[in-house]
This record gives sequence, structure tokens and C-alpha cells, in this order.
Amino acid sequence: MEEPTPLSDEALLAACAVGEQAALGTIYDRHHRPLTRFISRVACGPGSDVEDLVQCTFLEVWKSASRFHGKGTVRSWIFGIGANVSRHYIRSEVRRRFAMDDLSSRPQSDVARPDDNVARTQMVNKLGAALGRLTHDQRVAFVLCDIEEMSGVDAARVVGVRQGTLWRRLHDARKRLKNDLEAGVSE
Amino acid sequence: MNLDDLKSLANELPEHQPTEDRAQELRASLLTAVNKEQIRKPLFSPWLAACAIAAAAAIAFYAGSRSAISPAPTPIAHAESPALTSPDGARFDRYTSAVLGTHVEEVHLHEGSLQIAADSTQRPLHVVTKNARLHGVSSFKVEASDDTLQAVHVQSGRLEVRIENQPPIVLGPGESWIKPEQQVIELAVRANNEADQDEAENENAGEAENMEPTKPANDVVLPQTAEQKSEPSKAHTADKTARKPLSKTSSNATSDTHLAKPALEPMPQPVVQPSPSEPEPSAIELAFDAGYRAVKRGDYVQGLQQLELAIAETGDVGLRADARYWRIVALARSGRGPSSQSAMQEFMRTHPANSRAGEVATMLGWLYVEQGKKALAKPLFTQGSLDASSRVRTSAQAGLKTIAN
Repeated sequence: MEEPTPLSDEALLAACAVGEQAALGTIYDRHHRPLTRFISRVACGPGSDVEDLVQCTFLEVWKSASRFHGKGTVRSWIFGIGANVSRHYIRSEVRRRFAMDDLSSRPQSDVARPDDNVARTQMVNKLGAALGRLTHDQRVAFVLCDIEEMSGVDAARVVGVRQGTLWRRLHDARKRLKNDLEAGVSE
Repeated sequence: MNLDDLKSLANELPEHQPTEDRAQELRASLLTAVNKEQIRKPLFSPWLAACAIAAAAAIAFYAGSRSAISPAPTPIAHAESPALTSPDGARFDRYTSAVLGTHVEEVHLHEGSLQIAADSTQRPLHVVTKNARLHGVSSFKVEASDDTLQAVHVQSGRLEVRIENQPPIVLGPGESWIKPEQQVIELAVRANNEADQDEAENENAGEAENMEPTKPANDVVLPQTAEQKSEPSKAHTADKTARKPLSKTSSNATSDTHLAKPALEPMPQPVVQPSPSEPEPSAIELAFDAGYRAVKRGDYVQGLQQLELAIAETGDVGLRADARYWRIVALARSGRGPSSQSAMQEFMRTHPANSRAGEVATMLGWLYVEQGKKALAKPLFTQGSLDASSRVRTSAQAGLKTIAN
């Protein structure tokens, strides 16, 4: 039997906008892994409840589906929502609400494994700590451009700023991270 | 350090990724939340809505001119949708149609299982598969595979099951319909479970916290063993995994009367199964069970109602402690900060030696830290740092470190 052609992300969002839950399920299937990776790096720290943030993001996608106007990709639009959800999470009581209620679901802290290259692991740990010291905007810029390898245009759309602003944030983020790593600043 | 080194290091940063099973759980929970959510999506496009209004106006005009003959039907357009959850991420489509102001919902179930809870105040709901149509005001679980109805289990109300080329069946509370081939498979699986019972029990004893136990395919409420019934308190005071849903303690339930039948007996006709004849769990245990399940699927309002009932009515300290713990979880997750804090304080006051006390102490400690009450948080983190669970200890130690800074 011939497989039906999969719907585009844009078509699925349009379906969400008129209440088609199955479409949201498909969007979740396509994007939850990259979104989880993105959020776990933006809302970094052992207290972060990444799964809740991903859920909140998809709920926002559902609520806001009718507001997607086709500027940029659906992926970058979802990442933008994820970045905002993470920002609110960090700043507001949502952190208090979710972080404490299920300790078992927290990600493990960055404990070094004995079989790892110790120096390398220490550097990664230092980078994680330095990333946590960036402002939210700088961190989002760094994660989008240097980890997710999103284009500058898309990344600027995600955070809703001009490209120049994004590049400045990215530049500041890189500079601070390099300084922290080279200065041996640790957690 | 150059930019490439930085990027390379950044790509090694730890990331949180759920397992495939967990991802499916989260997917189901998301769709459940969307489904019964306060988020009210427009059911029609503006154009369709305009058509519907015009049609309704025309019908109302016609009905008004003939009001002496028959009164216009009472519209129930504002009735809520029946609650619909999918424990296994079922594949289905949901449609709504309006006839004379009455919304009728139809779910086309393709694959997986759905739990539907509807009462007379909600919209009528039809569940449709390629070979069957279910209709009624009822709470029930339905399972389909490859667009074909596999099983139906009714929890309350009445449900009419119309299967292609067969006379309709009406199921009442506790009754099930299982597709004949499916029933043969389940009987064989149960017989196999009976042989492996001891081994399964040993494995279940070591299950991690919050793991769901094996679930019978048709989710029929299975009886407990005599041993379980005689020692109810041990089930929930032994450790943190504590109380599990009553209907899911399946591996002990091999005394079910269905096993009297040979495993491969041909069954040409669907069979309506009566409720198990053994005594059922108490109302309080059922309330706890319902509350626990509701919290797990994200229905915090329902969960809190049932757990409050269990807390108020039970004389069993262990059950009360478990119910209080899940109430804390429900309150915290539903964003009721002050109430969850009170619930944690109550838990610490009433169950200071409970195996979950360290975890609750740590949660409460973090709440105090957020409020700047470090002095109150310190003894709680100290208690948490002695907890048996390494994760609780780690969190509590992080709390102590935060206070010290």
C-alpha cells in the first residue's frame, strides 16, 4: 500500500490552529528531541526541569499556532517559543513550581566519570558553568548559533531581534566564555 | 582557545534527552493536557461558523413558526468535551459536528487505547473504528489495532457497541468486550504469566520508583491475592515505590476465572465478560488509586479530589502518607505554591519518619530558599542529606551549599 505523503510542518501547524490534536502529536514527534536539547542547554543547571519546559513549549505552540505567519521555519519558531518559555522559567515562580516536585526526574549533575579524559571533562564542566553565568540572551544566541548551528537570520527570528543585535550578543557570549575558560574560572 | 575549540567543547555539554518510552509518555500527557485544557480552540473556521449561524437561524425561524407542533430542542452547545486520555499515545482523529445546536464528537481510533470519561452533562461522543461504532454516556476504555476494535471495558454508565455484521451489544459497568482472537492471546499470556509468577514477583519487588507495573492488555480489574488483602498496609509502607494502582497488580491475579478455559479454545462470538466475582478493594483504596492515576496523567483537579477523600476517610497511616505525598505532587505541579507548601509542612509534621520524609523535606527546603528563609531550610536539607536516595541527598547537599553561599 502506498504511504501517504507526510504533511509539512506548516500544514501541521495550520491543522493545530483549527484544533487538530493529531497534528500536534506529529509536530511533537518531529521536534521534541532537538527542542529538548536546546532547552536543556539554555535553561542549564541541575535544578532545571527540562521535560516540563518542553511540555510548556508545545502547549504554547498549540495555543499560538494561528499566529504563525510563515516567516522563517517552523523549527525556528518553536525554538523561539522554547527560548521565551525558558526565560520565564528562569525568572519566575514556574521554577519554584516545577523544580521541587519530582527530584527523581532531574537530570544528573555533571559528575566526572573515571573513564573520561579528566582534563577534557573538566573543561566541559567549566564551559557548562560559564554558560550558566551568561545572560539569558547571550546564552540563547550562543546555543542557537554555535551549538544548534542555526543561521544568523533564523536565530535572529527566533529571539525576535535584528541580526546586528544577535551578532553582538553572540560576540559577547563567545568572549565571556573564552575568558572564563582561559582564566580557569570554575564552578 | 579558538572558536572551533569552543564549539567542539560546547557540543560535549551534557544534555537531557528522555528515553523513547518517556518521550511517548510525555507525548500522551501533552495531548491529554491539550485535550481537556482550558485552551479552547475554535472548532470551526469563521466561514464555517458563519454558515452554521445562518443555518441555525433558518432552522430557528422554521421551528418558531411551528412551535405549536414541537418545541425547539434545548441546545447544549456549551457542554464540555468528554475527557479523553491516551495512556499509550494512541493514533486517533477527533471531529466535532453540530446538529441543531448540539455538538456531537466523534473519535476515529486507528491504533492504541483511549480512556474516555463522559457523563450526561458532556457532549455525546462516538468512538469509531473501521469495523465498529461505540456510543453512550459512559466512562470506558477502548483499544484498537490496525483500525479494528480489539477490546472495550466499561467503568461506568452504559455503552452500546455495534460491530460490523453482528447484533449490537450494550455493556454496563464492569463489563468488557474483547475481540475473540485477542481473548485467546490474552488467555495464553495469562497462562504463561501463571507459570512465571514467582520470577515476575521477584522482578517487581526491585522496580524503580514510580515505575508502572505490568498492565494487562484489556485492563480488566483483576482481583488481589488473599495475601495482599490480609496485609493492606504493607503495600504502601514498605518503601518509596509504595502504592501502585490497584487494577495493575496483575502478576498475582492468575486466579481469574477466565483461566479455567483452555487457552486455545475457539471463540466464534464476542463474549461479554462480567465483573470479577471476588471482593473488590475498599472505596478508600479505589479513591487513592483513582487519585494517583489522575495525578500521573496530569488531571490534578480530579487527583486532588480523590486523594483528599482518601486522606480524610482512611484509618491506615501508610495509605494516608502516600495520599499526602501525591497531594503534594499534584499541588506543586498545578502551580498552587502556597497550598503545596502547607501540604509539605503537614506531611513533615504528621509523617516525620516516613521513607519519603527526606524528599519532602528537601522540596520544602528549596521553597524556603526561594523565599529567603534560609534558617528554616537548613534543618530540612540536613534531613534530606541523610535520605536513602542518592538523588535526594545530592539535591539536599546542593541546598546546603546554596545556603552557605
